[in-house]
Amino acid sequence: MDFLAEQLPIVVQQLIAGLAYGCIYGLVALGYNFIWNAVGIVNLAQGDFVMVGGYLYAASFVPVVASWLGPGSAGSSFWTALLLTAVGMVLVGMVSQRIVYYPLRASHPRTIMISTMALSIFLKNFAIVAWGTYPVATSGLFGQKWFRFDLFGLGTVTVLYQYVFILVFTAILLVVQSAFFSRTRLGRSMRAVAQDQLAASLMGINTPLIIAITFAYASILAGVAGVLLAPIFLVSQAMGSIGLKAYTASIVGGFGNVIGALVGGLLVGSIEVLSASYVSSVYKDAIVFVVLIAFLLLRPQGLFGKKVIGSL
Amino acid sequence: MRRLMMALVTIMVIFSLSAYGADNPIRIGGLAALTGGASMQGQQAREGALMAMEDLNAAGGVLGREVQVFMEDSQGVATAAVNAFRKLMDDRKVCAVIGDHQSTAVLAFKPIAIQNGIPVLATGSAMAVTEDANPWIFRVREYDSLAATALVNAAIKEGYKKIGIFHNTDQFGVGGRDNVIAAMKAVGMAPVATAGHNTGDKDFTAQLLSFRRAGADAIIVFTHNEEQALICRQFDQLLPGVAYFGSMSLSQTSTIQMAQGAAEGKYSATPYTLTNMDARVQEFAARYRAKYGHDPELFSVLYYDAVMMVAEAVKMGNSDAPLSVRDNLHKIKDFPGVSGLNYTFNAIGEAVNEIFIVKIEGGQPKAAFKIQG
Repeated sequence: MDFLAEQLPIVVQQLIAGLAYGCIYGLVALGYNFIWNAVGIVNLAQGDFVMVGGYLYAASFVPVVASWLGPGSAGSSFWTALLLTAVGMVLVGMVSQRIVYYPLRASHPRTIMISTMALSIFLKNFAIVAWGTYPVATSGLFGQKWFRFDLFGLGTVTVLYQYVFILVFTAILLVVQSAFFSRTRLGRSMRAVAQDQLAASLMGINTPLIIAITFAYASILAGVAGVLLAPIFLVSQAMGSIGLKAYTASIVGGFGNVIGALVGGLLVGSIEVLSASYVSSVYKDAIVFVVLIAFLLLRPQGLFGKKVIGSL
Repeated sequence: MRRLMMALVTIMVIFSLSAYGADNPIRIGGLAALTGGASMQGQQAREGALMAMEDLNAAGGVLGREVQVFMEDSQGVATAAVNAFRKLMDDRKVCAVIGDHQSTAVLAFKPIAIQNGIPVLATGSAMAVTEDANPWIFRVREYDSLAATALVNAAIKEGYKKIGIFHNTDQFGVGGRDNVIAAMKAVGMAPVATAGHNTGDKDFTAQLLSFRRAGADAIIVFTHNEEQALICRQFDQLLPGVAYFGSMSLSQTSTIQMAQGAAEGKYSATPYTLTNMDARVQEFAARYRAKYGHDPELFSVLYYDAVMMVAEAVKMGNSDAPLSVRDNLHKIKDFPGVSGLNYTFNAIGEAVNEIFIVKIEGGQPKAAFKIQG
């Protein structure tokens, strides 16, 4: 009992961080899923879109917006910069799909995946040229502010406001997204294309445009993930490595499944922080990837996916 | 056709003459991680080395010849460093190589340098770089045990008794950990907890909480800039009232900026600080800022000084043959560097034997005291 009482605040402390990271993985995993559903490929540059979003926000837009609005306008500059980043990510998504996917759309999915891998390498190096090698620190809405509370007299837990913000923001985003897909014509068209491209085009839907929009939306999600992460971590090239964690989240949740992406993200985030504490802090990434391999071997359809027979 | 061939041959002869003629330049190689995870330090190194080249040429070159510094990308990776070193040696025909700033890279190309007789002025701090006392290998930087001993002494001096060690799991970090343990053992102490993390890790909650559980009153952190900055931030949230002693990376302006205020009140150890009021340090920093728009950092001044020392050795021996450069580097006495240090290479090739303990105050590393090795 004493052991549990001692561990509880530590577990809670870590789970708060784990859930916040989980939301980020979930957002990126959603991007994987939308592209997978629409065109049946895994976009290996999805993680690098997070980095591009982070840089657009922290290095390109925040300084510009802050200089327009003058100092002391952290709140309004955050929202304007977020909006500009989303617009930027639409461009990034559209242009990349035009160059990397569209000319190869009739090829084998493997070919397209290699093409997205090239995009990933390009973006990493582009970032060095465009934004330099120094990691960029940015403060976002809350900077490094935190609050501390006492957990049933067992110990204190420290929570960054940014963690809470990530959880709330992700929840709101998912509600808006679900309304978008069920209530709007564009959302329904995107779902139609995801279900059956041929039938959708026979119904008069401009399939190539909808696919381009799907890419754009997936890159907005990655960009938002970058913006949310930027104040906690630093914006640097290494940010792209988040793609692999998010990919794990997709597999765990069930590839192509919207709820699965989020649940998978939260699970991966929690496994990551708890294994760092209770197994090994040095091998925490390895542990996450062991989970990935275990799922691929034992339950490739993930927690929420349907079993599909066939191969790439 | 024949006339064309003649013309081509003539042109080739002229070009080869100019390459090996009177204006044949003094070629110095530099290795640094210009891309990859350590590219931040690599760019500082590059800026420092190129500035030295410009200064030398503005002053009329060396022995009346132009100085050319070739910077190659080691990516901070052993294989890439070996390839880059071979390129400098075989294609660029350099008379000495400066760098790399990552010990892993230095250890990879060190045997090739020794075998082919190219002097290396390494800027990696692992003990293994110089421990075999090879005459071709020099070091222009503090060595790890000096920094580790200094940090342990500083922690004890400030009255801390339960010290934890947090280290990167790469060669630098593990070496740092071992040196800290050795320095503590020398005064009859042992760490209360030890934890590791990988380069590129972003969340350190688990490790920091393990220091809290062990009841540490101070931690010594051996890691690189980006990780150091993030650890500082998370440390402030999770370990209030505990003291923090960071390795050299914490003293760098870029780390202090990335930490966004979280570096305040923390200690670090560095041979170079901008708060050193030495005129050489201040004059160089002003020129560097005017040229690059940001402060010089440790690797900027070390690469600058290393290029200057190679040039000095060329002058002393009146030759840029690698053997002559090596022998004259060993003869250099109290060479005044823009780092504020005076360099003399000892028997195993070490030139830096003193280090500042600095405390970060108002975003600046303020020199608290100096420790001699």
